[in-house]
Amino acid sequence: MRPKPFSCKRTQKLLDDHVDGLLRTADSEGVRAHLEQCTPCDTEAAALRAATASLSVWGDLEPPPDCFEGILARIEALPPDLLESAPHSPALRLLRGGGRWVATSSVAAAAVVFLALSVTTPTEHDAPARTRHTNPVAAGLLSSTGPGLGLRTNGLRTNGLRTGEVRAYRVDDFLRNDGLRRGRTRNELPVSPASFGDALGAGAR
Amino acid sequence: MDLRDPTQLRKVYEANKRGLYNLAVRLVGDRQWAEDILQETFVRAYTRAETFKAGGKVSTWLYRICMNLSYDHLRARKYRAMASLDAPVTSTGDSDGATWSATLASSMPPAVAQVEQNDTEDCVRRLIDELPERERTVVLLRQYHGMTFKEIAEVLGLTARTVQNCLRRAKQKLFFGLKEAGLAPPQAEAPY
Repeated sequence: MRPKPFSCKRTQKLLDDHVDGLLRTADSEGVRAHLEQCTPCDTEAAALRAATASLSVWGDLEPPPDCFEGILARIEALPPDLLESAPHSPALRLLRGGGRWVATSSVAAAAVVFLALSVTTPTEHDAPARTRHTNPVAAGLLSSTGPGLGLRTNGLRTNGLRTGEVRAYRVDDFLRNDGLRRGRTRNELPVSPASFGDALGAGAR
Repeated sequence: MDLRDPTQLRKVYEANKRGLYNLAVRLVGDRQWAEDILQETFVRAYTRAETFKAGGKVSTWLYRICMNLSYDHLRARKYRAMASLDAPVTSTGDSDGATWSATLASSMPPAVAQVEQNDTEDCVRRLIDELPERERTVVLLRQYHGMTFKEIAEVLGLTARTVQNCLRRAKQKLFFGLKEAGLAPPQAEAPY
């Protein structure tokens, strides 16, 4: 019995598998029956066949016989700490053990706290416009994370403060401008890490 | 599956070496580099064994590593070539802005280039190299590694439908390239 031809849509869906000979017999016959009566689909099938045939020019190659020894030598040469840390890392185990949501929610919580700290904190004193809208603690937090954290998004405005300006309160700048520049070493800085946020605020004022 | 166990590593290597090596050769076009990529693939698999998801197919994971390494290599090579070819030719003492790429462009006689282009294998190689990364990988994995759309989708992190569309686009480009070069079979007409 002659198979019922497929529709154009169905044929197009199965055409690649048909050309590559991966279809079941029943499907293949349905496609073939369609191609016999549909010139556009048949032409397309011929083009696909031509392209596929052209790819047969590349034969398979065997890898060199001593290749595995090379792999073992490379593994031998690896630094030991690279292998010790990775598989036993509790953080990785947590991530792999279905605890991803814990990590995700932690990051989200940290982001919320960070944003809450970095938004407007009304101040009563008459500070310069650039510092008035910045929470020094947030600035301290930001400083430890370095550049590239969300706030430095090239000119987006948050509460009147151009995000690029937050950079003025990075730790490195503080050390350079308010501490080390005066001839002190890092150990002689006038503030302890605990009061760093306050010191930044004072320095900014 | 513990790839830190040398016996298991060897077993996995034996089962996948040919496919991975040939994928690398076809992607980077150089046997020496392909061997290097093959070795690095297994070193990565060894050092990052913990990133392999239990229940997944090792071969799919290895193909993904191998593919990424190959593309890293190609990008680095492209960057190096750009950097070196765009460097000014200073050894001659000229300071008129001539670059190495300019000297290369005129060094090949047109007749030689024509002969090379007419060679089927070179033509197919060139056409495949001209495909975008994703389409090239789909063609290679499908044609030479006999992967189904679903398997390719897993390697590339795409949907099977996207993979099928990629393959169709890639083959259309290949066909037109062959036709332009006069290498398409006469009975096959352009369908588009």
